[in-house]
Amino acid sequence: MNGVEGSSVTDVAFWVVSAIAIAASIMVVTLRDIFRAALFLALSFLAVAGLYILLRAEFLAVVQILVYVGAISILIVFAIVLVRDMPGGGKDNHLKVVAATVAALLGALAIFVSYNSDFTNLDALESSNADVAAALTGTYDLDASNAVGDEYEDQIAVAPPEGAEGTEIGIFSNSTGSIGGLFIRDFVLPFEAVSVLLLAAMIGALALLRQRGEES
Amino acid sequence: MGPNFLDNAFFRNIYCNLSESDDVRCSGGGWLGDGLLPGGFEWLAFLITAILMAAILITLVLNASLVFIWAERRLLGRFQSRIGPNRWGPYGSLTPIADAVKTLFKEDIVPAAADRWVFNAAPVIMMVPSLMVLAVIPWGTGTFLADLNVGILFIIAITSLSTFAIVMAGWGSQNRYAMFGAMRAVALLISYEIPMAISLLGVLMIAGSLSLVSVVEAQNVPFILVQPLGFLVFFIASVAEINRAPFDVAEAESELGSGYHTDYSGMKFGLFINAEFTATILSSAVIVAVFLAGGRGWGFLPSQAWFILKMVPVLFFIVWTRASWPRLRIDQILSLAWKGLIILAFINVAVSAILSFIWPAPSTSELWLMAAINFGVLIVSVFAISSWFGSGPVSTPRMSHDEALPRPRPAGLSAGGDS
Repeated sequence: MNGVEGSSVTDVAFWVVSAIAIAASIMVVTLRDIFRAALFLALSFLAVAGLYILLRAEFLAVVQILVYVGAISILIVFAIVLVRDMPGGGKDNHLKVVAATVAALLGALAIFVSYNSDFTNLDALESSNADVAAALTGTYDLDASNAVGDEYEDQIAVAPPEGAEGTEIGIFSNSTGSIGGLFIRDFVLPFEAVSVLLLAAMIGALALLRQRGEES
Repeated sequence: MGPNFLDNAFFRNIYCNLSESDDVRCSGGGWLGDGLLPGGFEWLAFLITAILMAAILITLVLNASLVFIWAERRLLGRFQSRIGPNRWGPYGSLTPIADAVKTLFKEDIVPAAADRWVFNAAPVIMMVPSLMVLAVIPWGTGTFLADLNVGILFIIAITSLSTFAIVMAGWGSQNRYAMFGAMRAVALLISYEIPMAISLLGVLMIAGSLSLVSVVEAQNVPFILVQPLGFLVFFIASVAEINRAPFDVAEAESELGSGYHTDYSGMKFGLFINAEFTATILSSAVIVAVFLAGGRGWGFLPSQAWFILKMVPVLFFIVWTRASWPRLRIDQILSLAWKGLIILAFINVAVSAILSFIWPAPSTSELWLMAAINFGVLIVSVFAISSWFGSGPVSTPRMSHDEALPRPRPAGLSAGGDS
């Protein structure tokens, strides 16, 4: 194969994007100017989207930009703009030691988990949930979503389907359709339950906003 | 990777000349023999080719925006019974160049109270989304930078980044007019993103793909006929998303100075204006690709020429809208999005879902049948929604002084306690 996949270009891109993500995250927690901190938060979300692209999860990347950068960060920025008098953020709450301890513990946990996970082993995932494994490798078959078992094994063994004709669209494996299939077939109940949760949160916010005794 | 870039003839020529690729599509070598770069440098060839392609496309689009600025000013002149620019060059065609030179030579002023870093970054960030959308637009058969299989979602996601630029400009200026413009822009952009995304769902159901190239391939009948309601909503929403009249409340000259770019001068202001015109051109390109069958046409012209020919009436229509509609009030704009367009978009989704359930892979005749049904739906639903929408008394916002929109109080200007 020629081209870029698996070559030094993706390695360089990975290191650059990771460096941006980490630097932006550090800026978020160290800057005193809360507006700039929010901007750096958006930048780190963007960099994470870049990591998703390098992992060939293009749908996830685009949704990350759409939801986290385009909606959540915008709302955070909007809130900062609307809440007027916050020059340089809030006061020190004297919890530095506790915060540092919790952060260190969480960081240690993340490192421990990522060292002890076998990310290359899709067989384990397949035995626990074949559909998810198939979706990850872009071989999820919509018509056979209930037939799990042996038929996926050979497809998963060669994951990701590199360069074979017809298995890839563009530079990505085509996982969008698989994710959609999982959402509205196998996991339709949790998917819909989440939207009900969001609706409840929205109504709750409106109820809190409405002043008591006000009719309209 | 399976370099789909190599399906593009132009890209292939450059790439195969540079690299010692063993791809089948490079089998003839380039014009310059088989590879200028030694083996193992395919990534460099890839990088050079990609940057070259991007540079060519960006240059073309930026020049096209100059042409569009001229055409729009001439057209607006005609619409308003005046001559329009006619001094510099034949029919005033060099006026945009004179404007650009003038803009470049103007003094670059940064307000003393401004948040310099944010202020300077905003115009740059404004340009980024419009230029990134370039990458996924299929300008003709095989003429695209990238055929993302999430192309349409990519466009919607990337264009939402321009909201950031506007907020940064408004906040960075530390100016109340700018802040008002930015807040209006955010409200408008967030509201119109929703009908814009939903209106495309019908197209996706029929095309069965998010990739713009596949969407073009699926259009045996142009989707403007198959999805008239989707087109209507998408057109209105995209005119709103690019902040053009009648939705230009963000920069409303008569109320806000010029909104979020009040304090900008020189080329930073030029970048904002340029981004607006580039976004206009690119949204017309998206409309052509999604609703007007992209570069498909009859044999006697290359597909790229068809694409550009189809962009002309869309751009004309956008200018026409601008010339013939007064600017809407911000509350009217928002209620149009939430009470009108979103409902229309959902009706479109429901009808398209039923139709594409009946005909999962529609043939051309079935597409015509869909078009007929959808036109009926368009007429009925638009009449129903608009009569419901316009049934009440003309609403004027009931705002006492306390309920009015919160005033921005940028940190640099506030003198202590709140009122």
